[in-house]
Amino acid sequence: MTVYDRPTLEALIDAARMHLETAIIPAVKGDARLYFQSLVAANILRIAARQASLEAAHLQMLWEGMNALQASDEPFDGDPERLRRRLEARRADLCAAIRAGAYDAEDRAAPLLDHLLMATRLQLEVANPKFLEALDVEDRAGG
Amino acid sequence: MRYPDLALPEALARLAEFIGGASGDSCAVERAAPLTGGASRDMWLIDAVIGGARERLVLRRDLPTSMVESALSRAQEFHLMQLAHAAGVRVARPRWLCADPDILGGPFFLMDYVQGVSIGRKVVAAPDLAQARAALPGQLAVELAKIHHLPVDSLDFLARPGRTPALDAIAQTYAILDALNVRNPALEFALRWAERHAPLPGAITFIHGDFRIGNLIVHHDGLAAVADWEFTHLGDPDEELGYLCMRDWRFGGAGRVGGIADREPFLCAYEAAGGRTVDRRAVDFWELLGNIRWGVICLSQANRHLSGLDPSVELASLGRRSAEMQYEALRLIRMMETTS
Repeated sequence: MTVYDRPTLEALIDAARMHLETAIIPAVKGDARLYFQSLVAANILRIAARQASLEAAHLQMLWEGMNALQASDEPFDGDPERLRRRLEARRADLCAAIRAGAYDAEDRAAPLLDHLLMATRLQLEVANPKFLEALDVEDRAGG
Repeated sequence: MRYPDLALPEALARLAEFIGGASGDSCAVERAAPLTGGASRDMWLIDAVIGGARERLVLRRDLPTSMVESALSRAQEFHLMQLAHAAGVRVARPRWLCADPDILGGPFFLMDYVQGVSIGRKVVAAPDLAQARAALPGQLAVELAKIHHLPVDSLDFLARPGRTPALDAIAQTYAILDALNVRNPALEFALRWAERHAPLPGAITFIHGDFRIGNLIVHHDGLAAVADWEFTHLGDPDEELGYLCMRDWRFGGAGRVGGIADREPFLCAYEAAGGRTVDRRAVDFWELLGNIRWGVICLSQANRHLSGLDPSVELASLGRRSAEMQYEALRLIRMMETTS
């Protein structure tokens, strides 16, 4: 139950994408530039729909990853906007620590690299899951 | 209108008058058609009759606002292409430069049209280019060796590295991140790692600066011409080898070199052609740094849209492509950590 009637955010975004893909893109095939831009626009809507469905879970996974990295037990509760702002502040602090050399030592760098690979995978699950899949196939093949 | 559409009749007439004066022959320009390129390019296909002979040319014009500050002017690019052409590098023959902005709204130059494919995705995968793909690695190795031997003494306008090419590039990248006010731990870590593992300064040579599959013109027998000389600079030749290996230029192809070749035989061919020994570790490093820089540039391109300066769905989408380069950078660091 939510504040808003149907469709959900994901379904709204999908409706706009379907319109682009079925009505607009085939109609602008003759204009290379407009065609390309419309494909990009449809892809942006795919990204937005994936974010709408995955963001809550990703926020919590990144939070827990940050806690594990920093040996912290900061609780994941409160309203999503506060959590998002707090996570942004924690990311900024991490950036400053990295730049100051706090993660240079090998025993500090290794867990950070694992954390960053995880965090970047979350980004790619929204931005480009096919890219992630192709790299995983390559890594499994021993690349 | 300060920046006229080239296809307008009055623009064609002014262009014909310029070519006539520059060539000393009669000239009529029959047609100007826009060539699709990246967002930074203003390129036109020109059909002209010069001294009674039919000619097909390409015109490159300065845009009113340059996309990337480090890009060269058309006059500088023209000069470098002349130098490369005279040294036997496969490059479109540069014809005439016009520095007068009043002719077509900005400086421009003309070069010979070179027939071929310059869409990276097609070069890597098109069935009818299989023969070209077999020939390309050897040809690219030879061209790169030639480019890295071009004389640089007279090129005062090219930036010279201050500390080392690697540390300069890292400092520039930090500056872009900070100007954008981006706080991204993956980019921070990758930059910090790169700074602590930067190769010692080696040779400083002529560098094309954007040498990748998408900037080549390819025909059925392989390489027809190396295009896009606007990011030429002086630097470490290993930079150019690492850059060519970046995943984003492979278009899904299997080989680490541009999606078309394995790296070790390619580097051996380059060494045989140029006589310089390549530091494999430094090539790894420059592939890493290439990913970091492209990841940061993606964010800065998105910012051009977000700032309202240049509203564009393409620029907006680049922001979310940055994560691909970040992930690849982290993987490369992991690879280099385990092989050190």
